[in-house]
Amino acid sequence: MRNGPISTYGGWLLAAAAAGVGLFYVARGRIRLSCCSSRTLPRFTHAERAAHWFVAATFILLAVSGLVILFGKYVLQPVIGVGAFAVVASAALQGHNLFGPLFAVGIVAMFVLYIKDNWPRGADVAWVLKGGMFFKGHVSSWKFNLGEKTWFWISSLGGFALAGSGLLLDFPWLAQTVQQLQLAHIVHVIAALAVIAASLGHMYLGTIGVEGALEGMTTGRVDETWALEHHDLWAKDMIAAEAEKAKTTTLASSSVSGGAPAE
Amino acid sequence: MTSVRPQAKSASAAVEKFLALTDAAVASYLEACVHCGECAEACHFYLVTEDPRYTPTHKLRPMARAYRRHKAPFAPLKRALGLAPSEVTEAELEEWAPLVYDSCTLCGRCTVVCPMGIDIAGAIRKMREGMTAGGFAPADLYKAADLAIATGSPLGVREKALRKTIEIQEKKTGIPVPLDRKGADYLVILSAMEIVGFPCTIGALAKLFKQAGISWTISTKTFEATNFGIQMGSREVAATLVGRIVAVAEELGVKYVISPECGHAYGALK
Amino acid sequence: MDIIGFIEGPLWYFSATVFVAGALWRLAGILRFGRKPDLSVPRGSALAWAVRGFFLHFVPHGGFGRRTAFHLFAGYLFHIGLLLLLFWAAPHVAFLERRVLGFGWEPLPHWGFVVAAEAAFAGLILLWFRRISDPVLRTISDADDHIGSWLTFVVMLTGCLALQESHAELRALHMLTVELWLIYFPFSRLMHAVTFVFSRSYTGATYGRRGVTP
Repeated sequence: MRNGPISTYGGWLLAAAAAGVGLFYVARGRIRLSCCSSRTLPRFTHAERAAHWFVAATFILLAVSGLVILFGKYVLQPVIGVGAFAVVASAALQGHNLFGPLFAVGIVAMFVLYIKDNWPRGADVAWVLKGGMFFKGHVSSWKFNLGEKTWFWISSLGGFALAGSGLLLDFPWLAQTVQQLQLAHIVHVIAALAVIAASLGHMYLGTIGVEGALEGMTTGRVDETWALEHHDLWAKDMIAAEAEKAKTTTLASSSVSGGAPAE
Repeated sequence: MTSVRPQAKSASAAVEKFLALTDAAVASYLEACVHCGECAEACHFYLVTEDPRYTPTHKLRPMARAYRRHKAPFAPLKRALGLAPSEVTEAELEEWAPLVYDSCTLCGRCTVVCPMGIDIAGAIRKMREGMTAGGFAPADLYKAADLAIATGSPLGVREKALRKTIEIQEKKTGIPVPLDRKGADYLVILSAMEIVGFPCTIGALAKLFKQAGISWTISTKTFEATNFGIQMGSREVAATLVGRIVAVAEELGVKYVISPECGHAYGALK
Repeated sequence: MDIIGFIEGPLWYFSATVFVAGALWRLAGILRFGRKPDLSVPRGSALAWAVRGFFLHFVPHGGFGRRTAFHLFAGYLFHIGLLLLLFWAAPHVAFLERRVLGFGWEPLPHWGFVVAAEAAFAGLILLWFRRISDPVLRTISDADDHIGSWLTFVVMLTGCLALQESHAELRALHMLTVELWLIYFPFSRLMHAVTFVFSRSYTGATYGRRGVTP
């Protein structure tokens, strides 16, 4: 089953995802920032960013090695030969098994850190009805729009499925029956293909697809205009919060300055 | 009278001094830094402004570049291969002067936090020597140093002003201030600022010594404690100024020299 | 001689020589600058404080614990993991015994090796994140920092790819990256592994002699 329908459909799914991203880029183009303000708003904390890049790094290593394990026999072996492919496959499997547990820890941490802003809300319906970002024109959103929330749930639930099935495959003595291992195998492959396909969209949008997005995940802050354009409901809250903070800071410092000590 | 400040600014004079002061310890410091950024977390200037230019190791960049270009173990090889840093320029030193002078109090917190145990504060102190030699130290510091060398005090406070201030304090407290007394236990040196702005310090000292029953004196020849040579980074100036204190202490045969709350004064004496 | 033979043979000897000779040359080059004697009255033993200073800078002191926590955690995770797998992973112990020292010791069990490797990778990835995101590190980092950390990552990665220990090519790939790393070491910031002993000791001696905790 793994080498038949799943591989075939999975392969087409990935190709479709890649094509979809390409098509989106051609049709909609890079979503640009209309202008830049001199002010920034905090978007991701240090912990959120550390968790994201940790998971991203391990995910890429796992995805590449995983795809080699799944498709290598059809895609690479005809090109490089059986002997060479045996080497590549061994390398891929070892790497895949080593990074798996790191990804498992990371995805749990990410889920805990990001869940609070990823529950569905009223504004999401309006966002979808207006076509999200597929069309020009403004659509309101909180911190994460429905597209981002969808990615969160796919990557988290998919990630848990990958981690759980992966751990069973990495440490087979944890399973009781062969059927469990076979099931784990199938779950692992389906989840992997789904998450990898979705990740292509995520990686595209987070880097070249939306101008001003990457800074949020590297420096932790986003341009204020960017925030108002893409996540205005969240941005307005943040601007108010920053103003409150500025007020209390000024108050504190002005009460400290007393007179110079008398001679 | 020749000024401490050189006639013209010279990047090469600064670099020469940087290299001359890079001994085994400083070289090991410049070599050991792994750019981990912990020093920034200890520096007040960075913590308040969150401007990464105040990162302590960043303040040392010109000196580090000069070392790696000219003095580091593989420097000739790297220069030949075009892999050594480029020559330090006048513009660079001008840009770095505020970082090295206005944004560092040599408090040493960066030295404490560094995982490699690099004495960053000490290295900045050495870097100031090069900056001074090249003419890149702040203008006021050169002026103060010149005045201190010429008159004994960076504010130009001379014996006459000292005597007048002491007279007023003696009247206020009713306690005489012994001047130029040989064989006293303590020699008191003062900051010019104390004499001019906070003269009651002298009266307070008189009361303390009287209560403790300790003999003390102030020298009318050398009474300035502050050391602009230490502050701006000029060993010659620092040595001259502290040498005067040592000379008068030996001349009067005192047991101890008491310094005011001045970091540079205390550092010079120590 | 085929390429694998070259990697396991002549290139290994060459890279090991460059590593040892280069590191010694560089260290000697630093130490020969010497130091003027401190003429002040000593308030503590310079030698004792050189040693104390060395150990003291292993731990956060002076009240900076919270601010430096992330870097400390990631840094130790990486370094301790790396040290463990370098000297206690079975393939490494075997290599050292056969080709370097002539004697070996009891290695970690396989699971211990894997845990150490994962800790090292986790630490390195977290440190890499810090270097690309923290504004201070973005300002002060240069090519040497990035090359050094990526090279180390590649060495570790090729090592883990060869974990099954059944393909000469994978082992050779790992050895090749190790040899590149050894050649790069004396000319780069990777030398901190050696110089940190001296920087800490000099600071300890200087300040300890004057009665100040370094």
